[in-house]
Amino acid sequence: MRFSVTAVSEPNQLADLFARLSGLVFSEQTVRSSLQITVNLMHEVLPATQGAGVTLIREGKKLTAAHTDEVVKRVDALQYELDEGPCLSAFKDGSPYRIDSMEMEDRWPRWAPEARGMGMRSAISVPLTVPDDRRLGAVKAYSEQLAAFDEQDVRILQMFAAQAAIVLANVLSHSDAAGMSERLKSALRTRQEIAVAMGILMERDKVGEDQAFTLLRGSAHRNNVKLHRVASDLVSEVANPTPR
Amino acid sequence: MAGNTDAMVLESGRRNSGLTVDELWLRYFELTGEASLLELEAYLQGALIPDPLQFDMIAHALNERFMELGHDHPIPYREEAG
Amino acid sequence: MNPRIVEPKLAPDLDEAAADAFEALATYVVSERSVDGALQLIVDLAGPSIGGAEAVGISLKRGNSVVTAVSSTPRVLAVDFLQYECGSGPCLQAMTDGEMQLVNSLLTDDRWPEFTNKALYEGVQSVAAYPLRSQREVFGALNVYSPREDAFDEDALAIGEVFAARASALLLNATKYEEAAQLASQLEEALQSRAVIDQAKGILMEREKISADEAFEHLKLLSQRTNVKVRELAHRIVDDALQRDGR
Repeated sequence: MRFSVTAVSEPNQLADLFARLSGLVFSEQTVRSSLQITVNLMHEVLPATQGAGVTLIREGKKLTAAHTDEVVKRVDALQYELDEGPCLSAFKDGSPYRIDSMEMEDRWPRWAPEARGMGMRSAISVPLTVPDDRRLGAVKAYSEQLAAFDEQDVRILQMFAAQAAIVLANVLSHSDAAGMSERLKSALRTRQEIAVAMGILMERDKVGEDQAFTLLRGSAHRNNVKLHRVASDLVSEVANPTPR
Repeated sequence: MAGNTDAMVLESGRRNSGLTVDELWLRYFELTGEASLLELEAYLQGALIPDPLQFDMIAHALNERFMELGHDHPIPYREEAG
Repeated sequence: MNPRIVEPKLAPDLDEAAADAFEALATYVVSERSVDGALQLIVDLAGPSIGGAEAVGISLKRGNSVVTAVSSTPRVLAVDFLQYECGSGPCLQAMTDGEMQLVNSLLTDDRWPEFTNKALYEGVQSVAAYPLRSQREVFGALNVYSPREDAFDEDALAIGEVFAARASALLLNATKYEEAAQLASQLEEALQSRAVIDQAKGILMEREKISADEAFEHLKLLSQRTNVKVRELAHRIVDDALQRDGR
């Protein structure tokens, strides 16, 4: 399992090394399974629950990543469409929310009546926060009964949220690492190409490194493109000269 | 004093660009920058003075970021453009 | 064999120590710790959680061989070593078959005679060996030992199964994270002065009107012929090009 790297001289081999880092153990499927186990347990432990679920929010996109009942998905979807609801508020404020009576609820005036229309009369939601304080979404439970949840239940939900958060934190830290490798790989390729282009200019125009860089950036600025683009065009041109 | 001016120009440029030091390093690295992340931090704090080419590379990394944000090239270069 | 990470059902009144242990495994965030940390954590928790366990170890495949990556006592090391030496035993079997191996009494178990005789001298009677697996393969085993016969009851074995499943996922994650981090930093180091090699490629490309790959081939051939490292050659080519035209 230990990976030992011997000296590598050819740039593409480095890229290959990274390519060999195989897929996530915490694949998307495994995350979903873990979250599913969590919501199932929540459903068992919280009395009078119609359904429990986990909402993930990222860059404005909202998703019910796990749910115990179709109705959870539908009631959640209402929150997303109307951009209003206890889970969105929990996510935004970082506070737990409890609805004892959907009929009397005035904090979410458009969503609450619709949720009531779907049979939901009470609900709880707490934010989903990973250890470094990033908020990823919210965890929630809905009930068809009035005042189904009390403060104790809110605390229980917070415990489950903490569990789910750890799973997600592991996924994030792993994908950060994998993502970083991808980013470095790509940065390496770009760097190489720019260096080759500099060499070409150094030979062609009989200039030093500093001047070669200045020429590249000057051209980039005049043409309003990234320097890398100028470099790769130049390298292509030299490698595949168009016949005159 | 020149070193400190360099640092001020680069560091304030970095802050205005919204790039973290890590992100700046990666872009600078792509441009064939030679300094390590630690050395870049030292440049930005004025503890080390970059040579003209390295300075220009950092400046260009910042300027490309500014271009992404819709501005022109606010950070001046050390080497005059031909 | 198409193993999946499956967690068996547990009795509702789960032993509290075991529950705490699962919690600890589940809350281990890999970015903060390491593979070694993960191994140690698993071994530290498994002992108290699995009723009847006196010693615990984890063996891992290393290429063509097997090593004991961590153990709670020196005895485990000794017993494992016996297995590796004679090439047979419950832990190795678990890794080969991908099936849990249970020995209730080494005195009467005749599956691995060579191992059994020697292990008895180490004071081991019961062994439970759980394979550790990813989606594709078995990469090790979680091994639990006791000096008493019939040391592990149904509950203990069930807890062991869940433990092995959780431990597998944890180790795989920790390992992959470490690999990625290691490679990333090796990449950073390796790249410190790559630019000069690519500059030399560019010079050769322009001079000889060849492709980047051909230019690199030239460098490699030249390096072999002159017995000078590619990086050094590249430096020379770049310096020469600069001096030649008085830049």
